[in-house]
Amino acid sequence: MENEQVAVIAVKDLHFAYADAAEILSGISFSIKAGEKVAIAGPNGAGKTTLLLNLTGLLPGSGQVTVNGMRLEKKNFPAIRQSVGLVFQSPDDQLFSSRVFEDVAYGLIYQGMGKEEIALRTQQALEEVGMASFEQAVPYHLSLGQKKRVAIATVLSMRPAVILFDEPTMGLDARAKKQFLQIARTLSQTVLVATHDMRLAAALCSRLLILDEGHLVYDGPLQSALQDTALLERHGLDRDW
Amino acid sequence: MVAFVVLTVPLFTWAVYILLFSVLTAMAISSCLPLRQVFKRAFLIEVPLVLILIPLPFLNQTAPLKALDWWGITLHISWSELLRVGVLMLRSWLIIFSMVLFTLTTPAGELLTSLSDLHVPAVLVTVISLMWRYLALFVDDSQKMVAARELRSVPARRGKAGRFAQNIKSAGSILGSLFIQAYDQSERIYQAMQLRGFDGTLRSWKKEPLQNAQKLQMLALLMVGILFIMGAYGIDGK
Repeated sequence: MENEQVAVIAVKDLHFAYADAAEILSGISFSIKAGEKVAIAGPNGAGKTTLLLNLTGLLPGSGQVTVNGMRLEKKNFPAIRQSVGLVFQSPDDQLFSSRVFEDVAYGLIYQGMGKEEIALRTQQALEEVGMASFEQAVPYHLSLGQKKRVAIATVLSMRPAVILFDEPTMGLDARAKKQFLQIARTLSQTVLVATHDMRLAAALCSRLLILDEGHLVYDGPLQSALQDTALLERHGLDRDW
Repeated sequence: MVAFVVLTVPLFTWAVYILLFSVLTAMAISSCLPLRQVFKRAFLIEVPLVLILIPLPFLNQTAPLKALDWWGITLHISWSELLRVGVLMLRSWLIIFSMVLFTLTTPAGELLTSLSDLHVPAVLVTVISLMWRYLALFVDDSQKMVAARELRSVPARRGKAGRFAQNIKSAGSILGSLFIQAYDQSERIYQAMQLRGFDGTLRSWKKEPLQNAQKLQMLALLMVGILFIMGAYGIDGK
């Protein structure tokens, strides 16, 4: 229980702008404790994906970001990226190998693990997402739902402390959404989900962050936000989605 | 093996070409491949090479020459060069035929693994792997765009030529759009690779080394190739 009080992600006054463009993130501050499941919601272009990319150091924002006790700076990138996994919105961005096995093993190979350990962890990760029999499958031949599950396995195999999901249910049918939810619920890691899907957020998370035009406009219990129809409507959200 | 034999035997060893063609065709039939499609694909790949070779009989003026009158223009064509070009086309087509057969019967993953086993540089294998992985996606995307174009196309009033010009114009937009999509996707793929530890060096899952049976198969294939070449030189009488 003591562990659950430790902040695994602490963001203080984070600003980010793409070159020659307006600010996408304006002074974002929040912290997330170990084991928390948090939804990040907001209208299109609110900065949800940009925030996730900033938390992994893929985009260089200004401000102070601490992940797993390490400041987000270049020298810490290898360790931070080992402890934070990001599941991209489109699984085709994440599954770039010719076989499912190679994709799931990719991160482990770069961690310098032995062959037996790689094979074991890859198998375990695929089992966790119900894709164990697809080890030798070609990613292109999988359905979107299956690709999503393999994309999650590519992250799970690295056993990160924090998992970030970017629009995890986008384009999925009801069955695939249900399967995702089942997988996400069993995760013991700290989870951040950037989503429009408030039903998914409600089923998975207890806390909600709402981003709008680069500002953090709400940080609190998800259930309270769901009762506040005006708040949701003001920021392009709808609990019935 | 086919490329090795074709490139080694004397130019006019027809018997070897016929034998190779027969063997490859038999392999295609036994693999249950539609022959017409296989030939069509091999001919299509041959087209750029044909375009390069066609001017040679007109440029390389080796006797005997024959004068051809086309629309008031007299061209001198070298028969010996024409025959040589014909044989070159046949040789290249046989190599392409074997490649088409190989790619249609070998899963891409095994092909890439084989390249790694044969110590092809890792960067080349990775580039081929990424190309193979994403080519199909871009083909899908382009087909969707073409379908969208067809659905929104106003019935052609300018005849076939006008429609062709219109299609060429929209093909340019489609290609431009695909390029931007491909560029964006490559950025995201690079980000995904970085997040899993990619540091600029290429590392891959090393499978077991080649088994003795596989080495024997390679050796047998090499022997068959050498027999072909020896036979060809025997047939040629040199």
